[in-house]
Parts: sequence; C-alpha cells; structure tokens
Amino acid sequence: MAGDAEAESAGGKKPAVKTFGCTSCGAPVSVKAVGQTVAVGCPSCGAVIDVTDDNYRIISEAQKKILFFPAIPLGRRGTLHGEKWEVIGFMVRTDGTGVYSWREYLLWNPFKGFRWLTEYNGHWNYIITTRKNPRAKKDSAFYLGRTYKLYNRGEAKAIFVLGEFYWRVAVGETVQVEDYINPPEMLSREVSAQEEIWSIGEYIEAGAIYAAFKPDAPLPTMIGVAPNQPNPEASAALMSWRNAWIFFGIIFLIQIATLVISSHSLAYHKGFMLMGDKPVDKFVTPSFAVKGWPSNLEFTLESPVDNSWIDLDIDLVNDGTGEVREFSHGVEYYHGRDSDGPWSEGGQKKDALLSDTPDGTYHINLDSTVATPPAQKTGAPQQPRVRYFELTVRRGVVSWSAFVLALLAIFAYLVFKSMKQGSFEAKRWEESDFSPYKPTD
Amino acid sequence: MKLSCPSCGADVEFKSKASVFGVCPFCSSTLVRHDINLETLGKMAELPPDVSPLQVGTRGRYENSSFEIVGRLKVKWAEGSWNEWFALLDDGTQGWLGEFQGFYTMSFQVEDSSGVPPVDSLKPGVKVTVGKSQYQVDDIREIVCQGSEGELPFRAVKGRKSVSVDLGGQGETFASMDCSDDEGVLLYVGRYVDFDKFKFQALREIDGW
Repeated sequence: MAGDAEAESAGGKKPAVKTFGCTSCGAPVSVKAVGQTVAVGCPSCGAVIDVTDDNYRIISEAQKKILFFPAIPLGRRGTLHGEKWEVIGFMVRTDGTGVYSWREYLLWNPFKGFRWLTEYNGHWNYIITTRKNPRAKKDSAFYLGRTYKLYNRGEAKAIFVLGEFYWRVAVGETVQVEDYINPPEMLSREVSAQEEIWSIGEYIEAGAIYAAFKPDAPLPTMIGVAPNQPNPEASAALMSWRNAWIFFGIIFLIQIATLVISSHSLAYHKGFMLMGDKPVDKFVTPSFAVKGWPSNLEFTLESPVDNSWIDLDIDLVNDGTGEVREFSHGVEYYHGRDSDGPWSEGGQKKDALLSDTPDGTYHINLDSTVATPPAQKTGAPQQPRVRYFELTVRRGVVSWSAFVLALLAIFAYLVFKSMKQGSFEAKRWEESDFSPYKPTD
Repeated sequence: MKLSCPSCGADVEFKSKASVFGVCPFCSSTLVRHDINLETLGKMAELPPDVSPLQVGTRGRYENSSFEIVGRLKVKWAEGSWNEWFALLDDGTQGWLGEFQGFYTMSFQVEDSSGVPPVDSLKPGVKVTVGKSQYQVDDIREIVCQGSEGELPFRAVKGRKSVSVDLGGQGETFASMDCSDDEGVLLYVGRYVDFDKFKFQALREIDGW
C-alpha cells in the first residue's frame, strides 16, 4: 500500500486515522472507522474509493462539480441520546422520479457503532439498523410489538456520496425502499440485489440536532409535516385530556365542598294574605338573622295559584348596612284541555337564588300583585282571587347549574382539540400514496 | 498453562484447555499446541488495522458470569470484515464475542451439529432447527481469515477459508455456522448484546475518544 500514512498496527496500540491519496485526484482522504469503512467519497472530487482494495479501486468516478454540502460538516462531533457521535459520511438520495431528495448523515462511535441522521424538508430522523428483520405483511410491518403503517414504497438512488461508508456504496446505487410509520417512529426496509436491510428511526427535533452538532450555518428550514413527526396536537390532546380531568376534578371538589359546608338552614318562613279588595298589597317582615359563610339565599315562593299568577317585588334590606337588593319573584300556573289532551304550564312553587349574601340581620319589603280572574259569563259566580302565598328563605343552597355548564365547557374544549389533531394527521399523509385520508385508486 | 515459544523462547500462555492454536505475542510465530508441546507453523502477518475497542485481555460480563477475551479471529468477506473474539468464561466455557459494524453478539458452540442440513442445501429464507429453536437463514458468505492473535480453539491461520451462514432466531437470538474443509461444520447459537451490558474493562484506548 504505497503512499499510505498507515495507522499504527493493531495489538494494543492506539488506532489512528488512516490517510491515503485519492486514486482519482490525489487529494488526501482520511478514514476514521478503520476496519469498518469499506468505501469513501473523496471530499475533493467526489470519486468513491474502495478502501478494502489494496489499490484503492475507484467504485464510482469523480463528480464534475460538487453540488451538495452537508449541513453538518464531516468530522463534527455531537452528543445525541447520551452518546457522542462523529459525522463520517454524507449521502444525497432521491426517489425514483428524482423529484424528492433527502440527505443522510452517517454517525460513528468506535464503541457503539453506527447511526444515521436523515434530513428531508428540514425534518430529521435518528436511525439505527435493526438487529433482526421485522415482519411485513400487506401494508403493515411489525417490530418489537408495534405495528407500522406503510407510507412510501419506491426507489432510493444515491446521487452524491461524501466521506466514509461501511458498505461499497456507489453514486447511482439504487435500492428498493419501503417506509412504514408509527409516529414518532419510522421503520424502513432497503432491498438490494445483495441484501435486505431494515432500520428503525425516530423523529428528532431540528433544535436537538443544532444543539448537538452546532453546525456552521442554520439547518434547512422546516417545511410541512414529516411522515413520522409526532402530532403536537396528539400530545396536546393528551394534555387537554389531562387539563380536562384536572378542571373537572377542581369543579367537582368545589361542588362537593359547597355541598358539605352549605348549611341549608332556614332563615325565615311566613305565610301572607293580601288584605282588602285590591290585587296589590305591601308587607314588611320583621328582622331575621342570616348566619354562616357569605353564600347564597334561596327564596321559595309558594301559592295555590290556579290558572292565575302572583308577582312579588322583593327588597332585601340589610339592617346593619342599609344596603338593599331588589329582585322580582313570582309563580304562575295554568292548565286545561285541548285537542291534544290535558296540558299544564308553570307551577305553584318556585325558587329564586340570591348569590353572595353576607351574614347579618335582614328584613324584607314585599310588594305583591295577584292576577285578577277573567270575567265570567253572565250569571256565573265570579272566581275569587288567590290572595295567599308563603315565602321561605334558606341560607347556603347548592346550585347545580354552574356545575353542569362547566361540564359542557370541558366537553366543547375536548371536541375542539380532537378536530385540530385530525387536521395534522391529514397533512402527515399528504405525500403518501397510501393515505387513509384520500381514496386509493 | 504457560509454555515456551519454540521460536523465541518467550512465555506463551494458554488459558483455555480447548485452545489448540496460538500466536506468540512477542515474535508472532503461529503455534499449534499438542498437549504441552508447541509446534511452530510459521509467522502471523500483522493484522489489518481496525478501531475495535476490544483487545486480548479485555474483561466483561455476560449474564451471571465474567469472561476474558483471550484471542481474536479477523475475517473478511466480499463486502467488509469483522472480528470474532474468543472469550473464556470463568467456569471454563468458551464463547465467541462477535463484533460486526458496531453490533456485538455472544455465542457458544453447539457440539452436536449433526441435525443441521448440509451447507450447500441452504439459501436465505430456509428454516433450520437447532435444539428446540427454529432459525431462518439470513446470509451465506464466503469468508477468509485475515489473521488472528492470542489463543484459539482451531487452526486460525491467515487465509483459512470457510462458508459462514447467519441464521436469525426468536427475539435477539441467532445461530451461525462455519463450514470449512478442516473443521467441518462448527455450529453456534447466541444473542445480540448491548455494548454497555458487557460492562467491559481493559478496553483498548482509542485516540480522541
């Protein structure tokens, strides 16, 4: 091997880089993975040389012009998944049509062997050759208990080679490829005349590549959705389920706590009779005490109305502060019979809630109005007005309506999130001939 | 057992009773052991350089026992080369630690290879039963010994030719066959092992790593 700056011999001494002159252009070419590297693409002229051959045979000729440059330079080291790797090889490949091209970086660690990084449209994958061949059947592949869906089937052709490779790669080398996905993983099969090789890749964020290898220039801009890119909405969906459960838990606990601490104690109860002939009357209640936590007051109005109504204007007066809270309350009850049978509307009893009422002494000013019964046919006795009602005031009553509204809000939130997740999946399959999102021919 | 190299007189140690072949670490003479007598066959040419982190003397663990690497066989095939390290386990068991493109395996010889079909009847995809397990032929390669060092259980001279058959099994298991004129069919079964699982000691230092 004339002209070799040969590595020191084996047998305990430190192995070193092996360097030789390129058979095509004479420029120095180095080999790091000595003993494992089989072919090297000359960084000066692009010729691919067989380093297992004593005469450094040329596998494929020099390129007229080197048109491709690795985003991570050869020789650069970086730590990924806790392991230090050196970039020793770079290859550009295209599909059978030549329309799609992607870049592959061979990583090497003398203790841990080889890994690959691939980059397509700014999306990266971290890949390792599988130790055994997965099982493929129709449009699925199975490996270590996981199922992968066929995404792509076609050719991969090497159009540019730089640096070291552990097989006799050549520019123009074409293999049959199949890619199967189960995000964030991708299972790939490469079949050549000699062998069938499977590898398993995992989507890796460009930011992690940048942080690990600190390339000299920004990495390629990310375009679209990669086949095995994790659906951010899927993890977001997981998050939203988590959020939904947390939110549900909180409102559930609040509801339970409210149920526990609500005294539901009687503050005031009395029956009233409107006096005189008029359908209106005013009442002033004696003072009564409202105790406990600031919470709501429930006003229950009950009156034997029958095809009539009663209305109350209620002023709740805080004896201590003089503060007045005004609201209206009433009951109406109608019933009868028509062509559809008996009907009824309203009722004789109704609750009204007054929220956030502090404790203290209160009295109520009541302004009551009752219905005047409709005029009867001549001769029939005039129906009497209902003049009686009962008012009950209770402290600390639990409301369920807010709770139900909150549940509806959680449900709407989850529906929205799952729709966003679906639209990402459709984008993922856009470039695939095997998309479940479009009809197959 | 320590014997004297007939060529240079240096001590040559044989740690395994099964080792019938050795390379003198001082003068590179290739030695065949007949019980306590050593016969010189010739000289072992320098092994082609490689960056393997393993070396004769490296210790490691496999399952519940520890082992020491006592020899190496370097083989070449049409598309590259790999190392088979001869490992002696503490209980005297002989293992082979395979090192190929950064993958590591540990395998053990199956004494009775009579059940396997002849090598010329095999081709990729054929199923073969070894013991109670089934394997499938992945590759059949013609290999040549590029050289050896340390002690080995057969005459691993440079240029030794054989046919190597890889068979994939369940999970991480595999079988392999080495078929040569001199030794006939040597059958092995083993499994893939992660580098870190071996908990290696006395690895070779690699410049810059």
